[in-house]
Amino acid sequence: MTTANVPTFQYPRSSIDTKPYWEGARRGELLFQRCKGCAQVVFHPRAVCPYCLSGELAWEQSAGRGKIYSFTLQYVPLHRESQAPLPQVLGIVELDEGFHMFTAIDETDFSRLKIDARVEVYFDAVAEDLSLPKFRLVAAEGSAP
Amino acid sequence: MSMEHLRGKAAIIGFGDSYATRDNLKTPLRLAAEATRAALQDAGLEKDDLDGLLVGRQPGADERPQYNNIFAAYIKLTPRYASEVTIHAAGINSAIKHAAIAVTSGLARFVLCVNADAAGLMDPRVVTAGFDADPEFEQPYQPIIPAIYAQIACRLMHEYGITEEDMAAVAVQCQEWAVHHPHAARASKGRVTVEQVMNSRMICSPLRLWHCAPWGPAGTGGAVIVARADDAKAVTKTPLYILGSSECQTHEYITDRLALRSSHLPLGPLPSITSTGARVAGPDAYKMAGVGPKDIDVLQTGSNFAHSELVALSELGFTNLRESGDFVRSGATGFDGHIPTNTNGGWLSFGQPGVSCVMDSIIEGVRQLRGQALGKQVKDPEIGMIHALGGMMACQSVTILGKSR
Repeated sequence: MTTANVPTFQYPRSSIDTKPYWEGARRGELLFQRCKGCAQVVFHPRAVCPYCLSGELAWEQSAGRGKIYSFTLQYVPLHRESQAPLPQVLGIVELDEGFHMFTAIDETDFSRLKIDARVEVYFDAVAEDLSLPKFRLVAAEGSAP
Repeated sequence: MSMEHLRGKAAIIGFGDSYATRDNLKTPLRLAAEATRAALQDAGLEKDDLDGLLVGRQPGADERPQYNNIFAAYIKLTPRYASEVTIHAAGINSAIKHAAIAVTSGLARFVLCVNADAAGLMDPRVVTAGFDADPEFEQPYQPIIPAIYAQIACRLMHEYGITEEDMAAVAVQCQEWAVHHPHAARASKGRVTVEQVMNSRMICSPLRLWHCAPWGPAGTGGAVIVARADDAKAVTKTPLYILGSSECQTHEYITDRLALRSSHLPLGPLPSITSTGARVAGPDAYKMAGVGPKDIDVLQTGSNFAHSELVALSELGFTNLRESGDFVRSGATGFDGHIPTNTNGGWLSFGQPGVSCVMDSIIEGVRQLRGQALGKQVKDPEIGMIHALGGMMACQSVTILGKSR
């Protein structure tokens, strides 16, 4: 899970609209937006609300907790030269605030991976200036820090 | 919105195809030109008769924008109506509809719809992952495309009780067709059993090797020429009338689909990654054509993965998701079934040469209706349906063709 394991890592294509998200990730905060016009949760971050087209979006911090919406064990690396351990768990997490994100799930006991299993975010500092939000399973509801 | 006034008003009057192999590699431009030459010959037209040109998405093996211009220049065509039609690769299926609109409105008389690609000339795993995963929020986690489609498969199993064996049944049936086709990428593998599929290498759980379309053949090109129905009768004895056509797009990247929380269209409960725009495009196309699922004699679906076919068969009204595995196991989609499906092996067994996989489906649909199948010929089909999907189940396009109006 370090930079050395993913030598061909490509930086996300950030934009001026999403910069606060990546700055938040570097601080260990998972940010999303809420529309001031229609109150909908907005994710991925953007400049205009996709639901009501309002330009008034406020940043909020997610508690970083949610559940697995879907997942897969990927046995083939995207980049042939990648040294990352396989299989890699890639999934979609539904955050408690009501948005979904594609992510990696750090779990080697694959039998624990289930739809609706509770997860929490952590931040993987894959480079000095880049932290990727990833998730790990929470042992039991309410017992994790 | 209604397109019924367009039913049977335009027709495919000629088709052509071209194929590459690992030992005889061809560029997408060459494949497209060879397919065009064959289509002109089939229609009995000269190149300069073509005044309209619609190309599908730029080939993965030749990624240049304005591919219509690039191809027109390659064969020195000077169209007065031209564009690249992309709803991902499915655009070329919808191009038939756009061509019908063009010829019936007088924008053009003969519109060439052409698409080609050459998996043999690229590294599709990297090329396609680059544009099918969100560059900012998905790509950093380095998914390959099967990892994205596996999210859908995982949800299908959870929501509808689809099993890995259900998906395996699709692969087995597609291979039954493919072994008869001279250009099918997996034809040389011979028939397979459910057990073989279930024992094949895991790619992205629950998807195994045989649940995923292979990259290949090394290259394919296809072309159809569309004209007004009145012109068609003068040109050819075997016009295929464009009876119905519709499309619907729901998203671009898979995660983004989950932010579609409501819709004015009948997409089912949202958010969802198991429903697709085929729930809209299918009924719309049937309505335009004035037919229903029972009237379709031969079907091609966009089935890059085995579960994609189960979804398509269900959403197009041939079965429902919970029974879709049994439906395929019953032989319904086979040679003796009531809806022969993916008769060249489909994307699962014919393979995906790149973006031209949709044109391959169109060519197979046309060849079946014309009685000129290169593989196994369905007995006297009158009406054929071509379903295409593009992107991460994002774009859905349906075309219904018939021998009579």
